[in-house]
Amino acid sequence: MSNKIKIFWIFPIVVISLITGYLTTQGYFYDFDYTINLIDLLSLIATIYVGIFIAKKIENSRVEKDLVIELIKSTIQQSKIISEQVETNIMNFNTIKSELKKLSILLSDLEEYQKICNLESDSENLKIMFLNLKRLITVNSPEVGFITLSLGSHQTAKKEIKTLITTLLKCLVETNRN
Amino acid sequence: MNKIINIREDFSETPGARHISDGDFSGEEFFNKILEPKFLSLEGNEVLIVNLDGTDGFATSFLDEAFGGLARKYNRDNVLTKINFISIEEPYLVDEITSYMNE
Repeated sequence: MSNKIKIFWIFPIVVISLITGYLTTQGYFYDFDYTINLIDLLSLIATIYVGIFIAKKIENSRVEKDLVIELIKSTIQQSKIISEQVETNIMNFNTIKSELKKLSILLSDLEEYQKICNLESDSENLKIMFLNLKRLITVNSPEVGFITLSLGSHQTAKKEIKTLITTLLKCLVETNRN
Repeated sequence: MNKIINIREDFSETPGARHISDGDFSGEEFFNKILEPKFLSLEGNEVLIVNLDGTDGFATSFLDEAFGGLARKYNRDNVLTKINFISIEEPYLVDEITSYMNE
């Protein structure tokens, strides 16, 4: 917030405070009771406690969600790296193997984080998609260090990686919404 | 005492593809030089523990040729009771290998 805006807010706050102060001390709207009964006191304490508890819970839940959201974003990023390589259909064997390992680690980390944070997950589905994709890409032998998929496998691999990314995006939205 | 194979230390940090003709460190080479001899050396109730961590990733062709091949050659149920996998880095690998052994 800029200094100009901060200063702008000071004026109405001061005016409202002065008016409220004046009215309350003159007793136009309020009758002050200088005693409190036990039920009211307990009710006040309980309300304050519940307020603090809810605020704390919301804050903790936000931290957990942010953690999972960051991991989903990294997993989407890694999936896109693989998607770009699949798209070319001339994949360096060692590079794609290593990129697939990174994606596998991210997906299993995501599953673990979601369990820890008690968040809903689509991890079993994501795992199956990943294993199908890995199999499609690396089941056949490379030629001179490079993998080129057949037309059918190439189309299927592109579809699989797209579905994987879409599922991760849905997961991201769901995590943020809940 | 159980026997251990650490693929990174005993074989390669960069496991290759399926056949020896595909290049270095293939599944076939791993099967012939390391996996099968170790498996055949098991005595009594000994178990073969395979540590998969520390490599730069495995291709399906390598895993299927080595571990799927072992299951096909020495009876799936027999192999599954005598072999355990460690994969702390990449937990999905164990399910993946087991699926190739079950095919």
